[in-house]
Amino acid sequence: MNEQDRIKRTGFDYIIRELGVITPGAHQRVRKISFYTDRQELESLLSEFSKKHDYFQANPQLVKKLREVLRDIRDITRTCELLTRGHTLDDIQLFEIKSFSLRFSDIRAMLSGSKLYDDLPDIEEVIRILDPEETRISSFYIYDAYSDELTELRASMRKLQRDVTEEARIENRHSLDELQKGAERLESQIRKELSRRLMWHAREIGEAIEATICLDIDIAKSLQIERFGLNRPVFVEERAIEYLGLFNPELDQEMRCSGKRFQPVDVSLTTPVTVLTGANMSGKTVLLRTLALSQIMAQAGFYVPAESASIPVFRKIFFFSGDYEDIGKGLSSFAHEMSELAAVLRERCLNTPMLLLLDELARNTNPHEGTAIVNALVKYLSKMDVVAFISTHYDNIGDFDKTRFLRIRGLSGCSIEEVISADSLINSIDHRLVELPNPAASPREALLIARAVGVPDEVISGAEQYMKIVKGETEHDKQTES
Amino acid sequence: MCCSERNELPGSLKSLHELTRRFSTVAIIGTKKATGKTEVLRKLIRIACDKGRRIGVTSLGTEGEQQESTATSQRIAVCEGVLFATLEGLFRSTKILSELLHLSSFSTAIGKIVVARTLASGELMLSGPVSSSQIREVVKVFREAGAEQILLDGYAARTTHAVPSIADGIILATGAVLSDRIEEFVEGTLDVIRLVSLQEVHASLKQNLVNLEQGVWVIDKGRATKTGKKTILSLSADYLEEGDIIYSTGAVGESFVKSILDKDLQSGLTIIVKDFTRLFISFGTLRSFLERGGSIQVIDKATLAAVAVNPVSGTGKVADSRAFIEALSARTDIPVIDVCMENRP
Repeated sequence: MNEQDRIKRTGFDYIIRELGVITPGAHQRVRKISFYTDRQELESLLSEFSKKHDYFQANPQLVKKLREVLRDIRDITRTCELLTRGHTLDDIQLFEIKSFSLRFSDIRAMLSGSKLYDDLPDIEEVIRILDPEETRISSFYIYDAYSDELTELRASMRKLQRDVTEEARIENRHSLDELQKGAERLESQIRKELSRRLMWHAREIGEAIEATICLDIDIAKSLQIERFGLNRPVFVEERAIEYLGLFNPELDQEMRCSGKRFQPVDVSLTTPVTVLTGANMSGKTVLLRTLALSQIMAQAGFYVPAESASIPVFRKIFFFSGDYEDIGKGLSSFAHEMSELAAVLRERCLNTPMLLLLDELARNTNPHEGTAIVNALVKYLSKMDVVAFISTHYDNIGDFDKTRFLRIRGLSGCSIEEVISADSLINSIDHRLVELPNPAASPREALLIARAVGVPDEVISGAEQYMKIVKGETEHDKQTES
Repeated sequence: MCCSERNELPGSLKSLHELTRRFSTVAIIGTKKATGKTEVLRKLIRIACDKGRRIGVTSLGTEGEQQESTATSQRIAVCEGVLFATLEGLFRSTKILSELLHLSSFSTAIGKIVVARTLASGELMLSGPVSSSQIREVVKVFREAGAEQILLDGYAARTTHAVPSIADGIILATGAVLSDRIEEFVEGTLDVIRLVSLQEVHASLKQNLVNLEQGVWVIDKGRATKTGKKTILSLSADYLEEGDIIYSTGAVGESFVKSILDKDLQSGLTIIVKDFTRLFISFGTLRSFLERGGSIQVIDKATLAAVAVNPVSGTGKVADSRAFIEALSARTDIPVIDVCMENRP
């Protein structure tokens, strides 16, 4: 699974899209966010960010003003590169540098009250170079102030241009051309000189560009924390995941539009393997996807969608969603899933701490072999340094010592009479998890759901009939065997 | 393009000045390509420079269908202190000394737009924003830089810049390019005049319509009911009855108006659109619709300040502009001027 796929499958792209960064540089940066696998590094990153978050939260007016300035910032990375390489900049590029520097200087002044930002680069010298008249107005041309000779040339040109009589125009044309050439020569000398002087400050300009990108992203993250209700995760050494009130931010935002809220769940996972059962629609996939999302967010230095989170840092995070639309390669869904699994297991991750989230693995093949594959995998994974969470509809998965068993309550306690429509069905589902002492059969709620969404009674009762016959036959077989 | 400087009488400048002085943003549109829009722009710039009025000028970009180059962009003489917006590429090749004020947040197909102020007189090449949001950004920068009047030149027959919410005054450039024959020229020009001058809805109704959300609405006794259709494209004419008033917040196209015509209603329908730029129908269809008792009204009425006639035809033949102007003046109340030669008749 490549990075892009992972980001899409887990919904991390939604988090990025909804960040609301402003500057072009930040837009590019968040598209290729890095993930950290070192706990120390992550902790110091998060603790630094959390101080900034507190500061932004305490100063909403300042945040508003900063965002206004950020809105006027253009991407000058390329111009800065040219400068570093010793190119002579043209007027537009010099304008870009000046305009950026003035805005950055404003930002620096706004943040001067905070120790968190006392390392912002000083680019006043850049402004002095490009603002010889000291107006601090964001405009630029090769100012008269750069050269007395240029001032004189321009004055003479103006004088000649003012004489607009036909004869004067013809007479002056030649001298005007000469003056123009002289001015242009001087102007290009000045551009060269300005670029040379600015080159000495290219590093500070580069640092300032970087600082605005980081500031933009930090502010956006901070605002998103408030908007989504995220919290700072705690990183632990042991391989145990503990969430209180885990929720999916994308679904929660969607549900808020219709006046509802996502029902948060408490989850705890330990090493190596936990098996999850639950009826259709009980939210197994969403739970697994949200766990993957939250882990990715945490390891990207974000706060997480939970009331509290205590999680380890994994070297690798895998989420198998089971929906493969890649039919172009000619592989069936099952073959595709197996080839991905093979790739993960081939990595010899025996000593690499991994988070493996497998949603209904082998669901697309026959239940007989499917059960066998999943069972064998649980056994195999039990020897590895993993936290694996496997959801399944198959019965009796994982009868090994180390396996834990969780079940989503789902429709337990509801009778068929209560569940009369798809809507009431959704409302009747209890998403909370219960721990089971041993592997159990998957809940039998398929018929209940099929009926609720309107499958004809004849089919439902036919299915019930069929199940009775099969059950009778099995019991009969058992009796004859004994 | 139009006329040489020596043919010019000061009278035409004066009248153009009087006709446009009260507008804060003037859009120049054309009945067709090569009708002399840029010539009108040149005159307006000269007037502003003579009067010492601070102006901002730009010309609509071409969306890249025609590669912008120094060869295709016309040179326009300006004085010192003129604000202008043009492509960064064109700005770089401009000789005239100017102070850079703004680099656009957007990028057109062929680059960003630079806004600058001339610090000397000279010649500019203008090719600026394309979409209405781009035009708005440029207009905002012009205003912030102190422009008293903004002049927006069009491209071909496009009207993006002439939306009443951007431009409060319009000059229509027309000419012998439409046809050498006076009658055809007059009819062709009247088509555009009719479109631009569509009547405004009654003030009381306007109040009820301005804040409606996107969609198609049916108006009955001054009250608006939503049809549930997002665009008029999906609204079938069968839905409508004689005398109905419908309001579309979006565009109204040819096929819809044609389907109404096919229905052959006894007394016509009234269609209300935001402004004339939302109407995408052929002049023939517009004419038939109005002739059959239909009515099209707008929420924001455009103000047509003048019609400027260019007597040079496509073949380079110079027509008798006096005859053209007299024929057109007889059919419209809008002032008609010859931007090259004469005073208004």
